Amino acid sequence: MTHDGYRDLLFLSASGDMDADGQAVLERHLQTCLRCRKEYEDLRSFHAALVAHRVGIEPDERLLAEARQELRLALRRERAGHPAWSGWFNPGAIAPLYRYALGAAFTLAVGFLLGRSLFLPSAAQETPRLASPFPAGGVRPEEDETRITNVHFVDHGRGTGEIEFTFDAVTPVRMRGSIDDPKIQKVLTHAMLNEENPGIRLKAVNAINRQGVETQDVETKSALIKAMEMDANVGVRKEALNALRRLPFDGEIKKAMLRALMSDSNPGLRVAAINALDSARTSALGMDSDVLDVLRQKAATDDNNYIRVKARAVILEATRQ
Amino acid sequence: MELVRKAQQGDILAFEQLVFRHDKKVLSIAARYVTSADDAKDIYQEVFLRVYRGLKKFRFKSEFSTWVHRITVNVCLTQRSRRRRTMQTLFLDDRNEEDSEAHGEIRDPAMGPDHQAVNADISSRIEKALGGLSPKQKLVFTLRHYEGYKLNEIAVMMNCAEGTVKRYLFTATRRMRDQLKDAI
Ligand SMILES: [Zn+2]
Repeated sequence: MTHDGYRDLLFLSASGDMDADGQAVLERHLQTCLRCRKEYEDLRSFHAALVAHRVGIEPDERLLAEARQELRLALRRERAGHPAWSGWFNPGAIAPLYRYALGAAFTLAVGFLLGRSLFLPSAAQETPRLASPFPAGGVRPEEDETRITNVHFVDHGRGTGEIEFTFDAVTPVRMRGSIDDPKIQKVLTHAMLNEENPGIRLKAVNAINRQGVETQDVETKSALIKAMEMDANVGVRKEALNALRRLPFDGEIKKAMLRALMSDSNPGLRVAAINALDSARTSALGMDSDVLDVLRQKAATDDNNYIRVKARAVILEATRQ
Repeated sequence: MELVRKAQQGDILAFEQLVFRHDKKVLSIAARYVTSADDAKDIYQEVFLRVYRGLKKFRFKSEFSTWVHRITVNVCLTQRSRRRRTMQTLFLDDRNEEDSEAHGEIRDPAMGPDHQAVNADISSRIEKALGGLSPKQKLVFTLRHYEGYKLNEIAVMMNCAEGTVKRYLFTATRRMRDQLKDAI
């Protein structure tokens, strides 16, 4: 092998990609060639320095939080079965067709979806009365309450002036009951996480929060945590955080508050998270090294002045005890 | 494993836990591959949408993380070809990039000598030197040195020959050394 031929081997060996045979060949050459030995040492110290100064293993927290929130929205669209939902759906554009269809004697095949907002198999089983929104005789539902989607033409007119098409009509369903009712909670938590409309997600969280859920229900708690961490709308995140503060402080909630403090893009929410952690200071899990680590980091690096000051104050208070 | 099975059965909470477990690496690979934060988020989203859609077909023949990283590399590479059509004036063609030492400076104005002199901190020097690599060199360098993949594994992910991966790694390493020779 020529002297230059060993350069490849040097690279492979220094980056840890060399097999034993190659290594033996290289070692023999190194014993006789000063130039390669120097190069080899340089390469190895270069790689050692790379390892010693590993950069950017963790992506920027704010970028991560944003990416997660955007993914959450995209998944919500995906699950709703309308990947291009915002692109083509325009209720105003469909409404005239709808009126036209109902006003004349056309054949209608109506598919009722229990709803993008209520599509829970178990809820559907428990409440069979919801399954038939249109009473016999085809009474027209409240036009402004029903959303029409997925219009699909079966037959474009057979020269008789008749057409046939199907569509999904989503009609709001009124549910009334105690907030402690697991069924109601299920619907609310589902709406909180899956509704397209941030106003509705906010109302769902509100309902749980306002009534002061005493529940230890794991699903509600984890839905609130998710909403606080992932919702694209800061109002919803904030309301979820407030609801969590009413629940008994535990390890999960603590971790969620820490994550919110670490990575939420909204300073108001980070402030609320630090306040929540501060007021839980007296509880058994209040102020351990996890919390202190994050607080120290925030005290040094948060770009919000109040948060830096507050973090310092809480650390001082905690370490004094 | 348990989480993957749950997610395959449609458990959305399990899927999100899977995302949380793997998404930092995906984002850090993406963020090194492209230069703008928006592009990195686009790659991130596309990766997990593909994971979500393909989950039912995942057969546990590889580690779940390997599968996710393979999708990440695929998305990066196809993303690149989309970008190249619109950014040809800035991006040199792959065939030339190996020989063009000035290329890093074209894309990253922060690599100018003034900045380098001001910022002596080694880690940020390394970060900047990485920024001067071509996207493919960066990808290989990242997968090898930060994610710990072997050259043959990277070749599978990138759907190219191991020799090609080697060449990217050699060139990347040479450039990094040139950029950092007075620092480390
Ligand atoms: Zn030699």
